Amino acid sequence: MRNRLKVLRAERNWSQADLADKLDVSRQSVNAIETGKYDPSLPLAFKIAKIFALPIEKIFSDDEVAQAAE
Amino acid sequence: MSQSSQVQRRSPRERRKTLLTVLTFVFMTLYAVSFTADLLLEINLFWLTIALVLACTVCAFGWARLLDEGKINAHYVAWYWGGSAGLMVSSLIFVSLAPVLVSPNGMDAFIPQQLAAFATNLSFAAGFLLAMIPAAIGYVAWWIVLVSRR
Repeated sequence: MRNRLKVLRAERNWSQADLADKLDVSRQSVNAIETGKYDPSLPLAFKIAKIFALPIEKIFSDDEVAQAAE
Repeated sequence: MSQSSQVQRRSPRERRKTLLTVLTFVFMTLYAVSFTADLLLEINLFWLTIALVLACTVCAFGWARLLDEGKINAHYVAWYWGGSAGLMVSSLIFVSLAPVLVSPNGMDAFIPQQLAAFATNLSFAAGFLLAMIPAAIGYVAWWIVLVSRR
């Protein structure tokens, strides 16, 4: 699973800690999601989508689909 | 923003998590002391030991409920890889010691003569610790690697 979390966060000038606060998770968890160490649960993914005001598929994409698009 | 984040991070939830972590370690230490006293001094601390184990369990559950899903995932990974690797080491030790352990009074060689009266208890404790300590070391090592990478 790929995600655009880092880019979206940078666009809004938010630190990992800021995003972690908004999501009510730890900064390490945000870092782990950004670096692809783990995939968030559906509720957390929806929460992320809501915070960025974007559809979930604009933030997360399947590896194979992303590779095909490239 | 960051400063307010830091203040929020030490919210009641975080403080409760810290408190439960400290309490778990305190109860675990007391448990280890009571277990050792029970084992070596033959003081019957059965109910105290049960109470300490229950207190540890309650605190540990409370602490686990306060973890966010990223950390829960990290603990799963650490237990799966680190704990399994540690248990493999335990298995190798058990297998290599098997010829000694299955022979009559085989543990005597490992137990100092002064403690011979407690040989049964010590054998049991040694077996338990031999299984758990490598797994715990593996878990901690994997956890340190995960934390340092994140």
